[in-house]
Amino acid sequence: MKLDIPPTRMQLLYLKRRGNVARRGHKLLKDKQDELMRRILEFVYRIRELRLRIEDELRSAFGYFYFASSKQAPKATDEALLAVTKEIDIEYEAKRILNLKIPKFSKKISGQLIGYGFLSTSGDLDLALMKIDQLISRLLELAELEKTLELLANEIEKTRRRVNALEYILIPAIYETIKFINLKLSEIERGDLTRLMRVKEIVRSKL
Amino acid sequence: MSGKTLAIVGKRETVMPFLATGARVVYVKEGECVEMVEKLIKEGSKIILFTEEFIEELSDILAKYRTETLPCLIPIPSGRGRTNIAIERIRGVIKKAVGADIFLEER
Repeated sequence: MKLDIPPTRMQLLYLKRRGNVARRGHKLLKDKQDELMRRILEFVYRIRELRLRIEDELRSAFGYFYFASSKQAPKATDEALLAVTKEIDIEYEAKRILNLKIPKFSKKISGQLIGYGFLSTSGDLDLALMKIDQLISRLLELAELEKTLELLANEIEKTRRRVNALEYILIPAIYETIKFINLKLSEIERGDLTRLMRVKEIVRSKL
Repeated sequence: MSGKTLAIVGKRETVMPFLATGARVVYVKEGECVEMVEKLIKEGSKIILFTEEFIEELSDILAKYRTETLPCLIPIPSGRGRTNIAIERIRGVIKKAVGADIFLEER
């Protein structure tokens, strides 16, 4: 697909420069895409493992919890949970990977986990709550990783489109146009030359 | 906003144990999840964990915040056996980005 550009020497120079820039840009973007791909692969396996582990642990924690709440008085569980004075605060920091803002979370915890009496609650409740409490830092990690993955995936998509647009549309178009202008220019040159020869002949025959 | 930057959204019986983490725990029923999550985001929650059963309901919001750094919306298993919805979601994300299914099962 030829660009709609007048076939002049000026445009030829301009196009050659544009072609070089496009090729350099294409190489850069391609490198970026490769690097993103490498990173995303690293994340994929980490997330998979983490998620499966969290699922298992959560299930066992829930198991304890349901067991506990079925053993004690129905309101006792609610009361016990209301007495938890723990507060969690998430600190957020932005890290940069290839100019992408990646969240990084850290937690600040204050207060007590167990603020209820041991009399009306079963021991399983303590276990369940402790397990879930330990799980939260994993969940934070998972949140961080999954968000990173999403952002990376999004960036890969964008980069791939750009790479393809350069590789299959813009760069071929530029080179085709350069070729076209070159042909056109030499055609004009040949035309000029023959015209000159012809004029010279006419002038000579009149002498 | 101390203590409210981490929110957990889900059905009462599933997310109740998360009160132990000190996070903000919000009980929702089907159909009201979207509103609640929007409200939480507006109030400055940075991480919102929701149980897997709401993933369909929240798909619009998930798509909306996909390209933003915050908030972080993450599905968590509801503790009722493995449903694989969350894993499927990641698989979809990767498939779209890479153009191939690299999130292979090891089974």
